[in-house]
Amino acid sequence: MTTPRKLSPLEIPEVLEVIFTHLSPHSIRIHASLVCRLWYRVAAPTRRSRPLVWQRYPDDANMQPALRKRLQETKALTIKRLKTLWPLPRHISSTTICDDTPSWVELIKQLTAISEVHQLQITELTILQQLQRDTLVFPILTI
Amino acid sequence: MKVTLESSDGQVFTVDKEVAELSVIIKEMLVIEQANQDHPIPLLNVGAVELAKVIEYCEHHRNDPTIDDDEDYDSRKKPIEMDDWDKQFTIVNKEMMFELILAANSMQVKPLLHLGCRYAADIVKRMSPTEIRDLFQIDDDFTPEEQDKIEWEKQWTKL
Repeated sequence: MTTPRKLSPLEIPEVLEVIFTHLSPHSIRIHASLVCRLWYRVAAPTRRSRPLVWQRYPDDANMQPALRKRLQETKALTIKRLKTLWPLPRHISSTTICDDTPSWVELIKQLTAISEVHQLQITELTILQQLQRDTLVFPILTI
Repeated sequence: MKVTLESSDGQVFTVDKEVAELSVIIKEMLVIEQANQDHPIPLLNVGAVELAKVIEYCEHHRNDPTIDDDEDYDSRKKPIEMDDWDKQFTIVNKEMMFELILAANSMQVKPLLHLGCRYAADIVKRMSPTEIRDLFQIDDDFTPEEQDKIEWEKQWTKL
């Protein structure tokens, strides 16, 4: 008869949780959460707290269902690579948008559609720099 | 007032009550068993070697202000202070430190648990998932479907 193998602290969820408090969210996401199922599960709150990065707006139709699901979890959305060169103010609310940049209008249209489905509101939209290639856009959607 | 503790391998340690009370579990047991102090408190999951180290840690930190709220330990908000003594204390091999983490977890000595977890976090911090698995002999138990999902998530969430 063999004695049962002693548990490693790395197999105990409560201990892993404490270890993860000493890791950066980035490190948890790209390393720790990919080790095994248990680590993935324990890291779940960290993964979800991060806004989704939407990189291929707006021409990727396949991502729509996934995007919605993700949005339900995170309630926040980050959009990357918006291809426009039109300058916009740093902070704008959804109601002040009257820019005629097609992609911008399209973006707001899509965001509004998604927010309606989930009864979310665009409460804040932060533009980190003038909108141009690879601009990061952070619309925060809340219930 | 003194308290006696018994390790899983039957060794008995006598310590001051306030030292033992750094362990949340012992503190609670002492409240329940106030009247019955003739028997040592059995610590079924903690061996004598580890218990001696835990007691050494508690002796040194006996006068620290108690932190009741777990939130206060969250290093992302406030890094826990590590004095020279703690640094010296953590110069042990990985196996010993892991035994101490287990002991601290089962006895609920929270500052020691955090000290140990910080040590573990420092090891895994810069390692890839594969390196972590190899070092700690953890099985990659993701199903192919889960692997796909992870790959997909990675695509959409990479920095």
